[in-house]
Amino acid sequence: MTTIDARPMEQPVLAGDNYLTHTRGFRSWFFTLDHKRIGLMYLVSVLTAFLLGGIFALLVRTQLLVPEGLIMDQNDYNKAFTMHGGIMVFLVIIPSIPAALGNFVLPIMLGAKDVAFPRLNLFSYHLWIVGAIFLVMSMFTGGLDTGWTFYTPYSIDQQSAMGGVIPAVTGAFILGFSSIFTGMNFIVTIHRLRPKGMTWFRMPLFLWSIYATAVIQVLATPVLGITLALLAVERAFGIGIFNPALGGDPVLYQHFFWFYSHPAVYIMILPAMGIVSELIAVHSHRHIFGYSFIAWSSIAIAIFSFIVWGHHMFTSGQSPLMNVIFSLITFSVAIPSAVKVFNWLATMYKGAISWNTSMLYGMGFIFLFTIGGLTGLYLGTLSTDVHLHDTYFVVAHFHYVMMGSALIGFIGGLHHWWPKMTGKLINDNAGRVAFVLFFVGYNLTFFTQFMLGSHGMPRRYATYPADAGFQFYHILSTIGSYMMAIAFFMMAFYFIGSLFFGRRAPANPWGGRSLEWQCTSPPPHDNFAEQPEVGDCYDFSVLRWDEATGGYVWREDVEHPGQHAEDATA
Amino acid sequence: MTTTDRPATSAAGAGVRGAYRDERAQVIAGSFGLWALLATLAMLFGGLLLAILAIWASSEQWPKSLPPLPWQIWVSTASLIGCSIACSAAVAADRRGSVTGVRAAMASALIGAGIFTGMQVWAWFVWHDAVEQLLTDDGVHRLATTAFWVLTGLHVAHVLGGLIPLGMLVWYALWRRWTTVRRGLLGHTAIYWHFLDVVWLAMVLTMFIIL
Amino acid sequence: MSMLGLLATTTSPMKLGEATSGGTFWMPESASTIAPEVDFVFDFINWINYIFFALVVLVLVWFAIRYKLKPGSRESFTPDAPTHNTPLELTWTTMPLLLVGLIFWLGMDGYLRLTEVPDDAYPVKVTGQKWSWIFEHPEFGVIEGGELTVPLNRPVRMIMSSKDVLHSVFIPAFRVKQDVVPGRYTSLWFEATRPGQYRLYCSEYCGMDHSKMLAVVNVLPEDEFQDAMGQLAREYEDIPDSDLPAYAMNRLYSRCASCHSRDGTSGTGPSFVGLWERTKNGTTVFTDGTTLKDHMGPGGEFEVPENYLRDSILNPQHYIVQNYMGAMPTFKGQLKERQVDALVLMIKNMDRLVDDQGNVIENPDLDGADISTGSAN
Repeated sequence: MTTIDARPMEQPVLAGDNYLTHTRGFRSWFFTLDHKRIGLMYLVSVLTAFLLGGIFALLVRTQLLVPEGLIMDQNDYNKAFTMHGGIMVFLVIIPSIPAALGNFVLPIMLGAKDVAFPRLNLFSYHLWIVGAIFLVMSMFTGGLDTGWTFYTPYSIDQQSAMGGVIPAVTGAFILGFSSIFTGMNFIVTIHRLRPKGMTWFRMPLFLWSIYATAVIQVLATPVLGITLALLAVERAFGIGIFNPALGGDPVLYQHFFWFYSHPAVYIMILPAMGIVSELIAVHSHRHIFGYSFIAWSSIAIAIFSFIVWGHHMFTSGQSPLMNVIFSLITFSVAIPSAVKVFNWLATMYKGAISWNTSMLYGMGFIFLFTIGGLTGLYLGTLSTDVHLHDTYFVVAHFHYVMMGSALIGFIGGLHHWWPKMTGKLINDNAGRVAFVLFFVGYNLTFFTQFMLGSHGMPRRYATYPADAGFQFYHILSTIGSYMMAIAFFMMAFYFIGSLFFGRRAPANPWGGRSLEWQCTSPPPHDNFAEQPEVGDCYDFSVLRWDEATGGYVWREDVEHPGQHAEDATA
Repeated sequence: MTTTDRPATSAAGAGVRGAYRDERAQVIAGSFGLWALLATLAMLFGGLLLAILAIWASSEQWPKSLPPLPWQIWVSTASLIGCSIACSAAVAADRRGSVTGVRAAMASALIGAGIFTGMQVWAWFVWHDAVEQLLTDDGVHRLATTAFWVLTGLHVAHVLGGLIPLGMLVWYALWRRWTTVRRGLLGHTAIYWHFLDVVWLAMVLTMFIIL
Repeated sequence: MSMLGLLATTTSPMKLGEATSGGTFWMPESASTIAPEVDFVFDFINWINYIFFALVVLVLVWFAIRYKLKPGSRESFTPDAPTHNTPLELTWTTMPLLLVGLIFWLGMDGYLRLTEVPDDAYPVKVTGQKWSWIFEHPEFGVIEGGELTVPLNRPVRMIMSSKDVLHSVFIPAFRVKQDVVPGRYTSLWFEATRPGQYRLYCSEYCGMDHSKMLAVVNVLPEDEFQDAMGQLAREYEDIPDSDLPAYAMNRLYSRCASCHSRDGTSGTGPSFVGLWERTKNGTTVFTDGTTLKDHMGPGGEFEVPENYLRDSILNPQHYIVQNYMGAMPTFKGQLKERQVDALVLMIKNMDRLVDDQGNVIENPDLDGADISTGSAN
């Protein structure tokens, strides 16, 4: 047994060069091929978009405090909820985990120097920027009031929808290709660049979920692309593929749109599930329970996601037989989701659970995702969906899944990998307080919306009848949204604060065993000098707490993979 | 782009970029990427064909008699298949180690692709003259006749994309060192052009059905 | 219900307030044959969810507290904890499968009943257009807007289509909803089980005034329903010309209200206040740059200015007023000749029908009002 210093995991913190300090200047960032820098740029961009989308959300909530609408007229309200939806879906949730965190973590988890196609990766980011500019530009070219779904014939009718439709769909089209290229990159990277010892069923579960996501991105997103392209052509040249007045079919648009947009829900939620698998296992210091069930359930969700789109259209006028078939298949998605929840719970059994901020988000995810999943049952069931469709019940349901689950997973992952990305630790007490505020505010905002919806409040209403009993719930919901806003500002405060005042992070602050915890925090420019060898990344019994560095290190009395090579070089 | 901050070389040898052990690993990764790209494009074209066929199948007033497809389409078809065959010939010549064979085959492929694109543009104008009256007739006539441009337009965009690696390969074959990575690119480009063939035939068939 | 109540300007909020009371914690009042079935399935899923959710949260909290990392001890890894247990995992894979299978079957059963329309259903033709509803009773030759009168305890079938974009009929108290699609017919049916007034919403986003595209479903017992229909069928024939403006304000204006204000504010379309002044004087400017005056000279299209109002109702895309986008659908075929007359008279006498704030004057003084509709008669 040689000295501790020889092992990468125990190298002194911030010893010299790292990816942040490797080169300097704007060009060294904006044209970098380093996946870590690209991931970080995505992170900043996505969070900026999140701020913008969040402002629109607060405008929408404030408007609904009183029945006749507090601050906006009908047109401004319609623009506000459209921009909220468009920004949050296309600019925030879809790229948040794969493009920002995935880009940073995935190659390091594989012990690779970079993704398979670094130039394509950079190109994806530049596409994202261009797409974002187009999408936001739609606000200034006449405005966009179609809702993020761009339903026809409203969106293609020059008389109806405002002038921002073409810039917006162009933006969504470009963002779609950004997402496709990221997905392609990750598929090839996972196929070709796995290290020695990492078989498919030894991959960290985050990689499984990113892989399943990438498959959906590659196969579903082009269908959205062609649909939006047809929509733009139609609006510009009056060719009526989706316009009944010109011989087309508006319901066909819905089929095509949801063929992408339902799988897109899993593009959002699957990576979050992967993060939660990591969070629960690492912070419970306990081997993940039922690895293969979790891995296979990701694949199952990816496959089912392609054949359930019709459940968005139970009241659209498609045939009853189709409705029955889609309802049946829809219920099949419930199973892999339930399996994951049970496996996460079982992982906590007999664990040693750290109540740090990341783990709180992991547990918060289980709570909120359970509500999101269970309320999906009402919507998959035909007779109840007829009543609930297009009401606030649906709004509440998909926010529980897209925000309460996907975004919570992203925030949890951000807390988890923040020390690795920046080399700084956040103030964990501030993190816990912000979590509680967020969690309470979240449920206040969205649980009340279930009540609104089941009592008949339709979606996308700028005003509502004063005598229908809706206002009470709307007020509660708005108060909750303000609480969340405060919580997000707290997060921004302590994250940015940690950069200046945070304690230096050790290589492995949480006791993780996947490869990203075996390089320094922040990682060096090349990640690893040689691709390391890996073992079971959920077997934490080979780690011990090291008081000197404030992190976890290999136990001296147990062998770990690659040890002989290290001993030899030392 | 000058700021390549990732070291362009590693212990394994010159020309290996990024995370790969050697050039061969890079080529294999490239071919995985190609198939992922083709899967995406297949969904893209499949979606378009399906949309148009669905409208055609469900429409009750679809126009019965439309002008025949311009003859240029058939020349296009022949030249595209020719281009694809030339790409295969280049791969075969490369296996034999015949540098002249590669050069000749690549040059013919480029010419075939050029003829295809030219014929397409010509066909668009011919079609416009043929259906000008129908365009203003009513919505369904407009929809049916413009399907020609929508379908071929999307295809030509991908042909233009395919011209880039084709041009690069001609350049490499004539004036540059022939490396493993470039050899890999040749194989991938051939597969891409075969794919364009298949898509084109599916499109011609669709247009034949609906027009 | 008296005739007077039926013809009231708008339904009073109090009555609708009643309609929303009487619901449960989760559901609004139930007033159709289908509603109890839907509520049963909803409650069934509710209980499954309560149990599952309680289970998950209890276990989550219990484990989180029971296995909390002890302060000062960061070494308490438990290598003996199981990493998998296939029988257990198979159990929690198949158990939910059976449950959701049951839920699916219940939901399908209820839904299929929703799709089987009884043969003797009373037909109503529904047209959605931005941003109002029009209900036609073919059996009586009656057209209503803003309010739909239906019989109690009798199946009603709505045959629906849209004039412009997607809309959706949603009546929470009946638990029914169906999209209204341009270029095709969709239908839904219900059988109301309690007399009263229930709100009908548009639930598919349709643009600016989507949230104002509301209507009221008025459920009447059979004999009252027959009376009401009889009254409505004769409504316009029986009314003397001098009462037409007030009638139009009470019975027709609701179809115009989402775009044309009666308090002078500009909406999607010009306000009705002062419209007659502008028309009479020909000061209205169109998008093509011409003014109304250009079309009013002797032999001109609108030599009789009333004909401009008539044309704007029946052929709204003909001339579009400057600064408006021309969003108005045509009302051709939806209004009887006498109803068009009534609307023209209403616009001509707007200042006598509403006060400065746009409130309807209860008993308007129409003595000496101009009730000629021009030469079109």
